[in-house]
Amino acid sequence: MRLKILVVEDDFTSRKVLCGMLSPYGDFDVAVNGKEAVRAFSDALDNGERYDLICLDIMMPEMDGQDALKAIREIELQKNISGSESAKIIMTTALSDSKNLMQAFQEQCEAYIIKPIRKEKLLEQLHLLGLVPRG
Amino acid sequence: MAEKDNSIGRMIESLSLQICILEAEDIPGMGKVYETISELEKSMPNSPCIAFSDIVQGVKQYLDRFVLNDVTDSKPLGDGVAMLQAIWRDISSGREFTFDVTDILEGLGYIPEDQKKTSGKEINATGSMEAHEDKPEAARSTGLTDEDLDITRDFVVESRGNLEVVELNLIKLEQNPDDMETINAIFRSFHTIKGVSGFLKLDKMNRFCHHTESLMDGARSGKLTINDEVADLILESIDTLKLMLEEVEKCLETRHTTSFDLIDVEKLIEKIQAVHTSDGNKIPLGKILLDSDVITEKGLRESLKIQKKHSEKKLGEILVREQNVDPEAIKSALKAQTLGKRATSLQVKVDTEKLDNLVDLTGELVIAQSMFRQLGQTLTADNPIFFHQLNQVTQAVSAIQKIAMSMRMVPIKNTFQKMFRLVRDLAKNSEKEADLSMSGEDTEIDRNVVDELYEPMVHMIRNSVDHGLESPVERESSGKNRKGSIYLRAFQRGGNIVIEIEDDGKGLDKNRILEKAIERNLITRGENLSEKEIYEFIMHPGFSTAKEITDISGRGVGMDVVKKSIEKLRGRLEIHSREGKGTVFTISLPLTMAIVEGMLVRVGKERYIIPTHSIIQSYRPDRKHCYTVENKGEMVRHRENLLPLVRISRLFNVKEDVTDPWNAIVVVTENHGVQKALLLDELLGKEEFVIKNLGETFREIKGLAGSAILADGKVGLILDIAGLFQAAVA
Amino acid sequence: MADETKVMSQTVKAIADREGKYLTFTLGGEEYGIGILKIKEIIGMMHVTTMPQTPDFVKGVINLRGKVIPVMDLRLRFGMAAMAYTERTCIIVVEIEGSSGTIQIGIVVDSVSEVLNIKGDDIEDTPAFGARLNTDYILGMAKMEGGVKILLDIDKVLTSEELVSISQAA
Repeated sequence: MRLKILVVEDDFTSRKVLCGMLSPYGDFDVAVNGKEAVRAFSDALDNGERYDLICLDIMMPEMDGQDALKAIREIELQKNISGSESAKIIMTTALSDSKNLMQAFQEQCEAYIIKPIRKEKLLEQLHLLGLVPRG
Repeated sequence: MAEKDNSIGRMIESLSLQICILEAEDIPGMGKVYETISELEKSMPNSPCIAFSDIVQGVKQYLDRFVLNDVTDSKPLGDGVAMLQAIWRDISSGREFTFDVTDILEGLGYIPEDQKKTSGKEINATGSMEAHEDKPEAARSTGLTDEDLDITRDFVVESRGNLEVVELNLIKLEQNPDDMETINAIFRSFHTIKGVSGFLKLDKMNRFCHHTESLMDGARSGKLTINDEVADLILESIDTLKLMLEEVEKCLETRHTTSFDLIDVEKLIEKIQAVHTSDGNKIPLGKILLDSDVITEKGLRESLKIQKKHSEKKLGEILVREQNVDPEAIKSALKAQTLGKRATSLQVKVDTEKLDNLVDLTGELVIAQSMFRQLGQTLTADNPIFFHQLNQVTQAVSAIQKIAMSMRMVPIKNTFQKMFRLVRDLAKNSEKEADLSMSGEDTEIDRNVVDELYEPMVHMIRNSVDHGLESPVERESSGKNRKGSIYLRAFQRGGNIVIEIEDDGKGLDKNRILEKAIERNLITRGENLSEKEIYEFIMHPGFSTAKEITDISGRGVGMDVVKKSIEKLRGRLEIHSREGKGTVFTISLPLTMAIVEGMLVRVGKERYIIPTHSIIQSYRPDRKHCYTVENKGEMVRHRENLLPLVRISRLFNVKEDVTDPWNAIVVVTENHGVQKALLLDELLGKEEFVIKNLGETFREIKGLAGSAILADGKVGLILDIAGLFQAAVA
Repeated sequence: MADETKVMSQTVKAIADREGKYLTFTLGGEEYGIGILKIKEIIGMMHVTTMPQTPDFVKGVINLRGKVIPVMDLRLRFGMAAMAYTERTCIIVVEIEGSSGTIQIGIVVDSVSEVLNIKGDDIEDTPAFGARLNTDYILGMAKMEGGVKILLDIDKVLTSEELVSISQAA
């Protein structure tokens, strides 16, 4: 089953890399800043679709990943989406400080991967989150 | 050489300008700065002096952090460049540069090469504190960078805080098992701990949290009710996680790894899974219907017999067919079952501003209605039909007002009673004996205020039991009762609601607090401070004993946060203490809304309200009972006493109608045992008034407790007797 | 050089900020304006309950649909002579920033004129009258067809801290 993925990343190269890694598992939309990401997310909901996975960078213009994460969870709360139905969000960022780490988890992201992203690491997360079956 | 000097000078100039207009997140701007600084670096292979190159390096590194949004203050950059300018000016004019640049470098967070002890930050794959089966023995205690340790350290602190929040929320839940928000909050706490522990590869912890999280998820989706059994599981989980965090902490110190060998989680996980998967958490449908009198026992028994025979039929269906139960009743019973409670009580969230407006307008309605009545009396010559209709309106309006008021005001009893359990648990945990007693629990208080007060009160009571009360042995040896006492009091005073939390413990140690304050450079030695000021230090962020530091830097329920919460409600927090005797926390909150019974009086054109509870008596004195005493002013005789006479007209600068006391009215008022006589023109009657806060503009005026809307729609001022007495002698 | 740029951009920003819709009213023969975002409502003159221990420009409090709000006489606040109230006298209810949230205050004015759309270009800075006159609360002077309107920064006219300290000192 192909996943519906949202890749949020303002750097061209990082975007290409991520999309390349994810292409075997699903179809992706792209957003280049937090604001677009939140728009894309709520538009998808309005159309009756849902993103299974969102890869969210933190350092972005317009609205950063932390704020976008918060806003997306807010929207889910408004629409009473919870538990297994809420989007799985993986932070994919170069920032490795504990402040950002704690904040992201506090805002209920599922995982935090530090760039440079290695394919195995990403895949492992997809397994753990139950998005991609093993074997 | 001169040309080079010039260009460097110019570079520093443009650097200064670029940094001036720089803002956080201005990436192109930062790019320009970076370019300029790199140019500068390149064109100075042999730096004229170490300070200069140190600053250039410092600025460059600070800029890196600025780009990553690690720091957002551009001031250190500006300072650095200003210093560069100064240095360059001196050097290029041949002088030697002798200024001390350590402050600038500190501001930039830069440690020059020769002073560096540890290596800088590296972005590595994270190591892990947990031992993994496949790693060889030797590699176990390495592979952890400083950064990993920092993250782990923060994780321990944050998680402890999260667990405390879960505990607090669990107490809330015990009173209100269906509060979805609290259930969600607990879920989020476990989810967060799960997430970070996963990131740090603390697998056992991560796996354990996964189960507690699912438990909460079950509660969230209504499959599970938080009954005693589930609450106990949550408590056990909290304890287990606390143990794990301790393990992690120990390993941080020794830089070794742990596999949580000594901590068994399997049994607990089994228990959690058992509760989770069993449907048996739900109340049986039959019971719900029986309890709500929809069916009889006999009917239920018969239907269950039928169900046994025809097991494919649902009980609900059988009841509808055989027992003539209304299908609607079955529907709501099923609903109640999944939500785990007897009757569904729907709630809505209402904007408090709307509620405020509603209450205000209701007050207006009451007045408009009474004005109508007065008009009716003059116009209709006692037409009975008119008044009959009017009475109906009056009744409805009174009822609306009561409901409106009750939507905002609740007795503080509810909150106080929750503290019983808290004190019991706290005492048990700290091996002390403590008793809770309360007074004034019927005092009504604004609902929102009560919600905001809950956590600060919990924290203060915790302080009292944990730090204030001594152990039973200590208490006995100093002649006190074995059992410590905690008192909760609530009452109205002036225009405020006052809540006191008192313990008869060992009180605050003034000297220790002073020493700590000096240690932290909050004051200098030798400064003269009042007791009150000394005690206020414990409300400084990050103050107090080591144990409380975890409270503060965790989810933030330290004394400073308590103070902020109370100030947010426009209240004040005061601390009094006597060493060896005990401590009292006094919270005063302005009355947002309350009904006060008072006597409406008139002085000249102005009308005032004197709260009835302050009035002893009112009368017109005989001329021979009015005196003017030398150096004491006017006095009047009341029963056996001579009381000072207070002229409201003078105090409030209004023109009175009657000057001579023997032609006017005297009202004897009392405050804290002192009695004074107030001089007024006329008494207008006793009524109930809704107090309206006068707001911050008029808060400082002495003698006024608030205002009220009078029957004719105009504003009357409510007197604060305590303040009035003070103002009278001033 | 850097400082000039900073000041320049601040000025540009300030000018842009002042443009907008203003409610104009008269006071002692002069026309004043307050940004409409600060205006809550306009009511006719009504009975004011005097507050003790307040300066004379603090007239007292009124009942605004069940809410008790303070009222100031702007004439007295600006040091003009007091005037008897006519049927044109109004109370403009404004919302200003207090220390713990927004508060509503009524100001008594001679009469209310109209709402005008004032462009940034029409607004000039207040000339400095020297140390004697405190013109902090004037946003600027608007040159309009009907004459010059003095645009007020109502938050600065009625700082609540001032009011509180005044009532303390009284």
